[in-house]
Parts: sequence; C-alpha cells; structure tokens
Amino acid sequence: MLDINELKKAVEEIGNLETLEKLEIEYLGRNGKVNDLASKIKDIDPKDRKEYGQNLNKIKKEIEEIIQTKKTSLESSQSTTKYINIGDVLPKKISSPHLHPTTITIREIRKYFEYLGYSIYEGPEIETDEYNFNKLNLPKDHPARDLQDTLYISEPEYLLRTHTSSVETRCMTQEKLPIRIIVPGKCYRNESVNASNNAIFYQLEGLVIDKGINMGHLRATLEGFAKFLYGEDIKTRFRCKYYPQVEPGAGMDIECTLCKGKGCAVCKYRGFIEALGAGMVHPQALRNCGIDPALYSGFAFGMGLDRLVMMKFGIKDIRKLYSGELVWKE
Amino acid sequence: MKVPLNWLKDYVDIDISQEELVAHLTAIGHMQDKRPESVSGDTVLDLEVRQNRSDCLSILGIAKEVAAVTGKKVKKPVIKEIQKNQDEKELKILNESPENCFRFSAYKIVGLKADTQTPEWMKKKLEAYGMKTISPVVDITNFVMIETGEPMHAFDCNSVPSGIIKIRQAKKGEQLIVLGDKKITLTEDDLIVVDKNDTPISFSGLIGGATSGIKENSTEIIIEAATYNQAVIRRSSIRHSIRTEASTRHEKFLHTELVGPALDRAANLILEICGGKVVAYHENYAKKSDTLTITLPLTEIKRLGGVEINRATAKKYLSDLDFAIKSEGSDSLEVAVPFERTDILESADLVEEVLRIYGYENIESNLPEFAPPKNITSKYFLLEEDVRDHMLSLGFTEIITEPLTSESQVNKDVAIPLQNALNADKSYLRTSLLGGLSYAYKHAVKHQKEKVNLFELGKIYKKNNNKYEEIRTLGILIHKNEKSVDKLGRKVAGIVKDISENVLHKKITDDCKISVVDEDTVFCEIEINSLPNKKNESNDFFETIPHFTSIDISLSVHEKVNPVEIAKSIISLRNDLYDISYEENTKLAPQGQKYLLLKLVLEDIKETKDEVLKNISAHLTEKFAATVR
Repeated sequence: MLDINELKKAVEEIGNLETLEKLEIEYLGRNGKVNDLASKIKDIDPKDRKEYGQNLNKIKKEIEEIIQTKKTSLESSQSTTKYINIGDVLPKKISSPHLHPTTITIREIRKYFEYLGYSIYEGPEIETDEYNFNKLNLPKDHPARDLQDTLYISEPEYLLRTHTSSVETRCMTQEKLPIRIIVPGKCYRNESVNASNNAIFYQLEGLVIDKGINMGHLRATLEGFAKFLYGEDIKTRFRCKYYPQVEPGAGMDIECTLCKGKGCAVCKYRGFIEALGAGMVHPQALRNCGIDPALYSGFAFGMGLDRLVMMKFGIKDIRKLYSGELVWKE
Repeated sequence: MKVPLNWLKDYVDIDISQEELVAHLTAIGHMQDKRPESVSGDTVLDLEVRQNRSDCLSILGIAKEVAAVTGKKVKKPVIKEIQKNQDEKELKILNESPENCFRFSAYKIVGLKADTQTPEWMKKKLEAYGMKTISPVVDITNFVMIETGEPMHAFDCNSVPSGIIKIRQAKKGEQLIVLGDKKITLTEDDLIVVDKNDTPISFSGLIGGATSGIKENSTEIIIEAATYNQAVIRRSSIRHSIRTEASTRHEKFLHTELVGPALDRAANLILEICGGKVVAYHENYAKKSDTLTITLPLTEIKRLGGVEINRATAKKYLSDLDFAIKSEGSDSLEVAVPFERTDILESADLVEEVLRIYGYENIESNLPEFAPPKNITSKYFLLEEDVRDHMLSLGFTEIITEPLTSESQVNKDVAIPLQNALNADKSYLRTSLLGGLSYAYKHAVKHQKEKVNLFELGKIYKKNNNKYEEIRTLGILIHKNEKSVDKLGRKVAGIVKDISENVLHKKITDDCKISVVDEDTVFCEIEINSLPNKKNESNDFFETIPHFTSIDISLSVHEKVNPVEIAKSIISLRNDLYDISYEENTKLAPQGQKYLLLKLVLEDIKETKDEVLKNISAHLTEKFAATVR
C-alpha cells in the first residue's frame, strides 16, 4: 500500500516542525495519501474490504507514531523559550559597589609605569626630618622649606611627610641600584583648607637611578605619561623650574584644555597648567644617600594626584575627596 | 616678583613682544604668576621667582636673565664713587653677633634739603611695582632694594645718638615697636639693631622701628645695608609673622658683596635728589661670602642633559649670563660665578645654566633603553589591592577618609597628637577607622541608600613606648543588610573570617571586636600586619556532587547557655558539617530554660541520618545538659 520505509527515511531528514507538518498533511491530511487510499476502498472486492481496511488502519497508526515521535523530538530540541524585548521591560535600578576614585586612578597610573618596568614602592607617613628634608638637600632654615607648612608630631624630628619625596631618600638609602619606582601615597600640609586645598592630599612620586640617565630620558617619560593621562594630542611644555632636590630642575606643563593655550581663569591666564615637577636628582641628595654622583645619575618627578582624580571623576571640591562624603550615583 | 616693563627697559633693550618675553622668562625658570596688569601707565609682569634666585628679586637680576636669553647686554646704572672716610665720632658700627650679621655698612649724610620731593620717574616706578611712596629718602631705599635686590634702611640721626649703631641678639622678653605700630616681644634668637643706650631701634633684616626711621623733616640721616644669616631672619619672620619686602630677600642667601654697590647707589641718589654730603662711612665686615670658581667638565652636559653642546656654545651661554671663563682645560671650563648667584654651588648648577639658555624644549625625548631592574613592588601594597578586590566582590564600596581627627575620637592611651594642628578637629592621628566609616554611612543614608556596605583600607596610628606605629587596617561597616543586629553581627563576622582566611591567610582571634554602632549598623576592623607565607591548602572546589543531609534538632537548654558555644562544639565534633545555624526561643520555654532549634546541613555522611542524630544528641546532652525534643 504505502512504503513505510520511504516515509521513515523522509521523516529522519526533517529538521523543523514546519516541514514535518507539511509531511503530516501529505500523508494524514484530508486529501492525504491515507485518505486517498481509504477512498479507494470502493474499488476493492467486498470480501477483501475488511482486510484492506485493517491494513490501512495499521499503516495509519504507524505513520501517526512515526510523525509523533519526530514531533516530540523536534519540540524538545528546539528551544521553546518565550522571548521578550528588553525595550518592553523597565530595568531595575542596580546599585554596584565601587572602589574609591583615588584607588582607581592609582591603578590606571600603575599600568603605564609597570609597562615601563617600574616597581610600586611605599614609605611611612610618619617621617623624620632626615628623610623628609635633610637628605633631600633641604637643610634646616633653608628658604625652600615651605613656611609653616609642616605638621609636626615632635618638632623638629618627627613629622607627617609633606611630600612623597621622603620615600625617594628611603629607597636610595635602602635599596640596591639601579632603581626604578613610583610611590603613591598620602601627604600632609598645615594649610588652610578650601575648595582647592586640603591638609591631606595624595601625591605620586617617581624615581629612576642608573648609570647614564639624562634629561632626554626624563622628558620622554613625562611626555609619555602626560599622553597616557590626557590623550595623545595633549600639548606639553618642558621648562626650567627650581626644586631643592633636583639640579637641573624642570617642570612639565600641559596646555589648558579649556582655552587651548590662550589663557583663562582655570589656567590663571597662563595658557598652561603645571602638571609635574621634575629634574635630575641633586648630586647632594645622591651623596646624602650614599650614591656617587660621578657614577650614577637619575631623575625624579612628582605630582599631586587629587587634581587629576577630581578631573577624571568630575569632583569640584577637594574636601569631598577624603571626607567620606563621596556617594556614587549608582 | 612684580616687574614693571618700563623699569626693566632701563636696564635691557627689549625688542620682542610681551608674549615672547614672558614665554622666554617662563622657559628659563621664572613662570608668569598672575597675568600682566596695567599700573600707573605701565605694564607690570608678575613672575614667580623661586626660592633659590635671590638675585631675581631685583629688576637688574631679571634684566640679566632677559639679556642672556635674548642675546642683549645689560645697561647698568652709573654709580659715582663715594669717599669712604671713616670718622668714628660721627658713625660707628659695633657688631656683637658676627655669626649672624656677616656685614653691616653705613653712610652718614647730613645737610639734606628740606621740602624735597621724590622725582616723578621714581614715583612712577615704585607705584607700578606696587610700593607706596612716602618721602624721598625712604623711597630711594625702596627703589634701590627693588633695583638691586639688596634691602636697606635709613635712620634719622636723632634716633642714633653719637652715631653709634650696635647689632646684637635680643634679650628674652625685650620689646620693640616696629613700623605700623606693632609691638614685638623678642626672643634670644632674634637679631636687632640698638643705639648707644642699648635701646632697640630696628628689627634686623625685617622691619624698622616705629620711631627711629626717617621723618618728614629729617636733614641728617644714616643709611645702612647689611647681610645676615638667612636662617635667623627666616626664623624671626615666621616667629613674629612679619613678612616684608626686606625679609623676603634677607631670608634667602644674599652675598655680602651686594652691599657695597647698593649702598653707593642709594647714596648717589640721595645726594642727587636731596642734596647734602657724606660725612662718614663705617662698616663691620665680619664674614665675606664665598665667591666660587667651579670646574665644569663639558661631558657633564651630555651626561646629565642628554644633549651635545660644544665648548664654544657652552662658553657663550655662560658669559651671556655674566659667568667669566677663567681658564679652560682640555675637557672642561673653569667658571667664575658672579657673586649674586648664590644658587650656583657645583657643576650640576652650571649644567642647568647652559641647558636653560639652550632651551629645555630643544632636549630630545628618548626613553631609557635599560632593562627593568629587579621588581621591588611592595608586597603589602599588592596584598591590600587583593583585599580591595575581595571586598568589592562582596558588594562593598571603598571610602578613603582623613587620618586626622579630634581628641574625642581617639584612644587617648595610644593616640599620637600633633604639635601644631591648625584646629582641634584635626589634632590627633586616628586610632581606629570607625570614625570615618561612621560618618560616611550616615552621609550615604541621606541619599536614599537603604543598605550601606562600606570599607576603608588605611592606616591607624599608635604610640608604642617611644615609637610611632602606622598599622595597615581594614575597616568594614554594614548598615541595614539584615533584619537584626545579631544577624548583622554574624554577617560581619563571616566577612572578617572570609577575608582573614582566604585573602590574608591568617586566623582571626576570638577577641576581635565587633562594634555595634547602632541597632542597624555594625563595624569591625582587622589589622594587616603580616604577609601570607604561601597559599594555604584550601578546598576550593567540589570534585564530585556531594550528598547533603539536613538535620533539624530541637532542644531545650538552660537559658544562660550560649548557643554560639553549642554551634562551635558541634563544628569541632563533626568534620562533615557543611553549615549550621540556630534560632532561639525564650518565650515559650519553661522558667530558666530556652528552646533552641539547630539547623544542620551535613555533607557526605558515612553513617545513617539516625546515627548522626544520635551522636549529636548524645554530645549535646553530655556537654550542655540539653534535652533533645
């Protein structure tokens, strides 16, 4: 009557419910093959009709079973997941935890310097006059010691470090040469507090000591850093600037992004903003740390981190940075 | 330093634009401070002069800088020679502090015309600089100070009986009324000028006395210029909060040889403008400042600067800056430092001179090609970063707060006070992280934050015998994450245990304190004072799917029994315990008793559930006299 094997083969090949449905209609539909055969029963000899009918039923059941099995198999393997468009759902307000902006900024900076082979070094916040000033070529009563700026625990010996440069002298005194480090950390000054100054602030220090280090190396390092922080197009200016712990001394300024160098209130009409203080480590500082300046040279640089953090995160009042009053929106 | 351009142009020709001039000065080390202003018909630049350049606190000093960088010559004012006849009956200088007053020189000038006026040209310059004009002699001393960088002072002879001037250390408690009618109580560290009766008439290096200075009708005067130990002047200036044009210069390193030309210049101007004649000169020259000749090995320019500058160019730059080349070696120059350049002490200073005229912008950028040295990154720094990441993953936001706090917030037994705090709120170093976290969560709550999870990783500071300690500490605060303070306490304890064991790899001690800040808030802090040796053996993963068995045990026990002890004893008893919690019920139990519901989850038990239940019940009965229900 009907070749079941052919049907079985055809069903096996089928990969989707639509095609199976078509086959189902082809065989079991109103005008399908089975009904067609059924209608032909009037052409069969009456004494053979019972057998014909029984055979046809058997075939019909077999076909139904084959198709049903395949249907079940296809339905379970096809995902019958309901879909909804995200546009039709009102997203829940998610509150995620955050690291402090200064932590995030330090991690960013680490990436640049670790790429250049720098280690991350640390030093104490409670410092001695020796490491914070003397070894840095800043003896007592020197005019470059900022007036009234140091917070003392026990004058003159114990104080809270006024800059991360104190860690430079510790490193130079304690570690083997060559040296290549950056030092992020808290510093303290006895300054009156306002929207742009705080008694506590973060600084970042850098120090490289080796044989043959020169100002060309310093300039390249600072320019690369400025580009990393402010983008490839940032304009920088490298100029002479005095700091007691370096000679020659230098400063790197970045062009004011607001006025593009023309001068405005933000850059104090200079067109440039001071970004980094730097220079070649002063030979006296090297001697103070037991390093022979005739054999070794090095550069150092420092910057305040807070202005950078505030700029990156849109914080306008420096007092908010470390008062516990920064609340993330999400 | 204010630089009126018309005044500057008296000493150097300027044919470049103002912008170019400012750009040059900035490049060689004197950055524009505030923007140029128009004052008294002149344009006045405002330059930042750094603390090493005492010579640039003078118009002549700036003129020299401009000359060097623009290739011009300085036009020095003409100074006629003054007869230096000494007559100790007219003028006598007695220096009782030669270790602090290195030089003190003076002229006595008499017969000044009454009713003289400061000439217009001088008035304009002083006003452009921002100096009030007072009277000719005073204006002249100010003019010469700003022109040369050497401060000077003038006395009315009536205040200097017998022309005797003595310089000495003040006595403790001695008093002096200075200009502006300010009364100063002096200390032994202060240096003063006194008359023959030992009465103070001026505060050396800082400010003149109120009554001893020039009056409107002074016809007999003594003008003086001196060089002091800058350390003393600086200390006195800070001690008494006196900052003047004079003290700003005297607190820096001034050379003793500045005195002579400045004093002669002032005398010249006085004679020219006020008439009169010089009747006496006297000085005490206790200690002459060093005048250096420094060897500059030419290789230093390449070694430090990274640039090739040939001998001829280096010589030109240096002589443009008024450094005389005394002699030349095969590879070096012998350079004589002009006396006012007290900032030039060794060859590195000369390298800077050459480089800044060469132009730092001309130094080529080249990254060092050296292999990185040994990694000495602080292991504590890395450990702290791991702690931060872990706390973040537990849903905690980081805060950083100021370590300075008030007395009421610290543990007085160990707190470190500051000697010179600006105010009482920031007079101690914190002994706990609680203060900052407590403030922060209260602030966060105002922003509609229901639950607040905060941490701070910072230092606390303690005095230990005579040592000052900085202790890295992790502070954790949880607000309203759980329904009860007990549950909050359990949570923070769990977190502390997790951090200690899994990140710091050390066990917490039982006496680690949990602070109950309020009914919704708990706080705990742990010190990070050791580095993990190596990662402990940890069972981080299930190898196969475990079979968990849950057992609930109801028991009644004496009301004073601590359920935590019961839980801990079961933890010690069974090594197949996955988790345990309990609920307490005191209300329904009979008098003196309480009901406990222990909920245990065991992992892969080897016995039957009944056998386990029997084992634990027997233990509870024995150890805690518990009745299992």
